[in-house]
Amino acid sequence: MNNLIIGQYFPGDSYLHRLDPRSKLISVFILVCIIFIANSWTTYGMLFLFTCISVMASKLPLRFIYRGLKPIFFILLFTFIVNVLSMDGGKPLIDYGVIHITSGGLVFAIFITLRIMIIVMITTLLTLTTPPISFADGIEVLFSPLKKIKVPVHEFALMMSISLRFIPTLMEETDKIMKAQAARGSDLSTGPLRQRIKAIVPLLVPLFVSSFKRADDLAMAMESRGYRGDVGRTRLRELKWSSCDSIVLVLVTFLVMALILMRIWGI
Amino acid sequence: MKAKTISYVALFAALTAIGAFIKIPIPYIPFTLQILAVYLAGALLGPRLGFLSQLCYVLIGLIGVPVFTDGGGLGYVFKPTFGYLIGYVLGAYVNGWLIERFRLSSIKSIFLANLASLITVYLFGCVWLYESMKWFLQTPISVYHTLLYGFILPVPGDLLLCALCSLIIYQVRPRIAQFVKNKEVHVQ
Repeated sequence: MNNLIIGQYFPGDSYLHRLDPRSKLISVFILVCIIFIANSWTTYGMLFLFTCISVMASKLPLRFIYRGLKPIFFILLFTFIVNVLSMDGGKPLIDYGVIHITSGGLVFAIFITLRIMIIVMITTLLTLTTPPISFADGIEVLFSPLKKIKVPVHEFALMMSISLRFIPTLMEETDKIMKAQAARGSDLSTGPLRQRIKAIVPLLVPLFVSSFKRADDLAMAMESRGYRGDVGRTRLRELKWSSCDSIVLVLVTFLVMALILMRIWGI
Repeated sequence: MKAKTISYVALFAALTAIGAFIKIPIPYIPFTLQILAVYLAGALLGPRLGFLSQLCYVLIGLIGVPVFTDGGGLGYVFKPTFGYLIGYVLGAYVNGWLIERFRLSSIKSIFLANLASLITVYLFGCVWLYESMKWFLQTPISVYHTLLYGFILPVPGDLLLCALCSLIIYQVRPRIAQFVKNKEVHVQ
């Protein structure tokens, strides 16, 4: 259950943990975009090196990164095989029956696999080193210019925090209700589809009643504590932009410029 | 925005996550109650707030809380099944808009509105599935396979949920009529 509140966040005290969520969000966004520029060994190598350095800077146990890659392992393998077999170009390496493998195809397949791996590693790193609540705060600040065109950014960030708090509670509640109904003989796992769907109703009604009541209570609590929106609100956790954050952004900018130049020069 | 509006929208985002948690064992495909929360959010909160609640759910998953059917995390954007999640956000809007605009109140018309939102969800799901296989994984699959795995196999259960949900909305919505007025939640 605890797993849900903190998400994938793994507590630690490294450079990446200490960075401001805003700078991390911006860098990851830029990195994921520029990965599609890379098209050669040098460019992919640079990006991969950068990713590995960030993994090392995070001081996370490697098995956490591995755990992030595990769900996509099958997709990686599938993409690799299909690309190796279907892409042509370069010298033929193996030509046996229906299997044609060329050096060009192999290189292309390695590039695509690397691309997916780098993206997943970077994004996993971001979620592993940032707690969801400070994520929500970072999103609120980054999107705050949108308030000018009447997008409820502050309210939205608050909704995210509240919902984060709601999810584990409601989950516990659902679990309790499911067990209670199972004890009364409700059965979700046998019978035709129609009957199983009907068996959902005695699950939903108590869940809705209790969760609406909870939302009502929360609203009442907010009002009685004088919640009146964004204006003049103070925070328990303030976001702090340090020199480290600026350095990271400068580094990422250099990387982007290097990649674009290399693409133009064809290195 | 009122405190009540905020807490109800947050609640529906949480309910969508709970929907992914209630799994009904059916052979071959994972069947969850997620889409139920999409219809309900649109119908009970109205288009704008329903849209916000689903957006909230998707963002919570993207920042690493395991609320999607297989986990969470930013990398989910590049999964072939991410399109359904975009579909949820827009599907809730479609459902709410249709019900509010045409003041649907009979079971049958609410069912049709739910169906429209179901189609929105699957439209985005299938297009994303097809395009991400083609562009991101560079492994194109045929339109037939996209439709088979992305639409025909998972749709029967969701259709039944559609019918069930129109019944729920039909019963619940009149009782909370003030609920959706003026883009704010009012409930006694």
